[in-house]
Amino acid sequence: MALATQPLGIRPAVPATSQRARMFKRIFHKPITVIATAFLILVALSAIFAPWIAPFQLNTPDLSSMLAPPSATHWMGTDDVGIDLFTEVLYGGRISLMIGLSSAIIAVVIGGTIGSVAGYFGGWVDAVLMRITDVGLSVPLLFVILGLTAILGPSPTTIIEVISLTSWMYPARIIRSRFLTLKSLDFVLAARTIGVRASRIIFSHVLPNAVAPLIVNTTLLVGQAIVLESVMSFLGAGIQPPNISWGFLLNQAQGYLTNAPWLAIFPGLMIFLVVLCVNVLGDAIRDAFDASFSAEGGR
Amino acid sequence: MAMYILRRLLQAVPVLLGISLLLFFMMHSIPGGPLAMYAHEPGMTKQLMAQLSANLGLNKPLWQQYVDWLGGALQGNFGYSYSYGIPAAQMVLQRMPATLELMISAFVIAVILSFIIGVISAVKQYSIWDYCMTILSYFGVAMPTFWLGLMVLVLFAVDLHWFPAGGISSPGIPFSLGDRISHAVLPVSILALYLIAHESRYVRSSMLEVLGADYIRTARAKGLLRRTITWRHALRNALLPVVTVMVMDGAYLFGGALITETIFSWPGMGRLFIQAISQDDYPVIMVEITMLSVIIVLANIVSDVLYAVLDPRVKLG
Repeated sequence: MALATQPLGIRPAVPATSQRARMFKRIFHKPITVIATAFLILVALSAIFAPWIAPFQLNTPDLSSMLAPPSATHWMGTDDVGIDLFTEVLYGGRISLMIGLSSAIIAVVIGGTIGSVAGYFGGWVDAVLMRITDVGLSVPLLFVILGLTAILGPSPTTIIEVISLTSWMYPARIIRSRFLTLKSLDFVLAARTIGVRASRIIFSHVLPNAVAPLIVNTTLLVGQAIVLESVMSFLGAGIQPPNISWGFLLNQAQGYLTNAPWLAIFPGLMIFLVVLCVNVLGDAIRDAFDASFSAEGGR
Repeated sequence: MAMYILRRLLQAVPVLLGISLLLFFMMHSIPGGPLAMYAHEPGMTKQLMAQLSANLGLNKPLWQQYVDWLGGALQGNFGYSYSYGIPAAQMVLQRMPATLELMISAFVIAVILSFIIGVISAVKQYSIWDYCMTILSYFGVAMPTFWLGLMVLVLFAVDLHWFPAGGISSPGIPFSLGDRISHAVLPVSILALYLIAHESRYVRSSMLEVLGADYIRTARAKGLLRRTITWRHALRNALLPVVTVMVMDGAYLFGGALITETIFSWPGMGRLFIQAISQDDYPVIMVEITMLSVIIVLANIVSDVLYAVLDPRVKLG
């Protein structure tokens, strides 16, 4: 990383740790970012430790308290067979967060690779890869999503695959345009002159310089993926029992909107808050990178 | 310019072919298929099943079916709906006015409000108004549309009875504008809210960039009215990047209306699409997919061209 950035001559010679510390400070200088991050960590921890935190057993119906409204015992009320909703929301978070994180990361890896190769090599490779990206961008996504889940079956893995297969196009475009600028810089030419392999130039010389927009895009994709999962569940193509997710809980709640609205309110609220916080964090990271670029005369 | 448009249109051809090819094969590999519902009918024989399959042309090799479909589609013949026996294209076109009503109203409202909100937020940057609007747009972006739709439906239609709970008009009464509007209020606001959340941010950042420009300072120095500077000098230039975003939003709205239409039982193309998918009505699915992709691809070209037309500094390459 240090090798790749030095020839650009835009970074002052400071130790990496202090640079990282300044970045950290810049991201978290606003209280709202700290609150958002703290909330995300809390939600992640409570999803991981759901079996220890949950006040009730998952999937143990209690027919004496069906559709009970929120109370001191049942914080978020109970569903149609008397299962504690708070417990379900805790467990649902595991799958929702896992789908959000993994599909965002996979999408960025796919998109990043395609974008780097297209941008670095140019010519017909670029033309072919970009037409494929255009196809991906112009395709009616919901149909692809519904179709693929119907073919592959609605397991959490499938849903991660489907979401990442339908959202790699934006990172691909972003990375390609970064590569178009970066590949003509002297340090790439220098690397090429001394005979560095193309794959090495792409991944260890150029890519580290394009990492800022990728990180921002990843955070946005996490939010999108969580929403997409819930939309899929809403249309009946999402998670199926015994797995549960926030989207699945929302789908279940549809039949009880009038007599038990809390079944829809709480899972929806969780999706909303998590996506909100992810976006706040993403914006803070982008601002921090922007500030670091302008402060160091990089742009 | 003409050459550029021509080249873009030519480039769009392989993209559209790719989309139709991809989706055609995907659609056919979905388990079940249009004949599955007949399989368990009493008195169904293998022979009858083969007959049915031959009638729909489903017994041919898949590539042949695709070539047949493509040949028909190029001549404007998209086949007949499996479920209703009427031309699939006609079925989709019948549903179009309802979708357009929803989309256009939402789009127009969203564009007007986005400009007002975006411009005021930019002029009064870091004011209470700006913060409130920023928070609102975060909400709009993070809120899953269908969840908000359900919540709004429960609150305003079921609990408060302010608006009807779904459909495009009350059954059994003659056309009345008031009735149509009261049906449209909820779905249109849901769609518009989402658009406003997106677009007002673009307007704001674009305005902020322009307001810092030298010619604005000159206009101020000349003592022009603040209002004139904002709405005539600055907004004109701030429009440029925003217009392209809005054109694309309009195109995606066709697909995005799908969920809103489902929630509010709006008899538009989106609901037809969901219905066609659940019935494996291949011809109808293909019409919808083709139309959506053509609209998105064209909107892409239009927004690029528009950008060059509006801003002479942009060179189309």
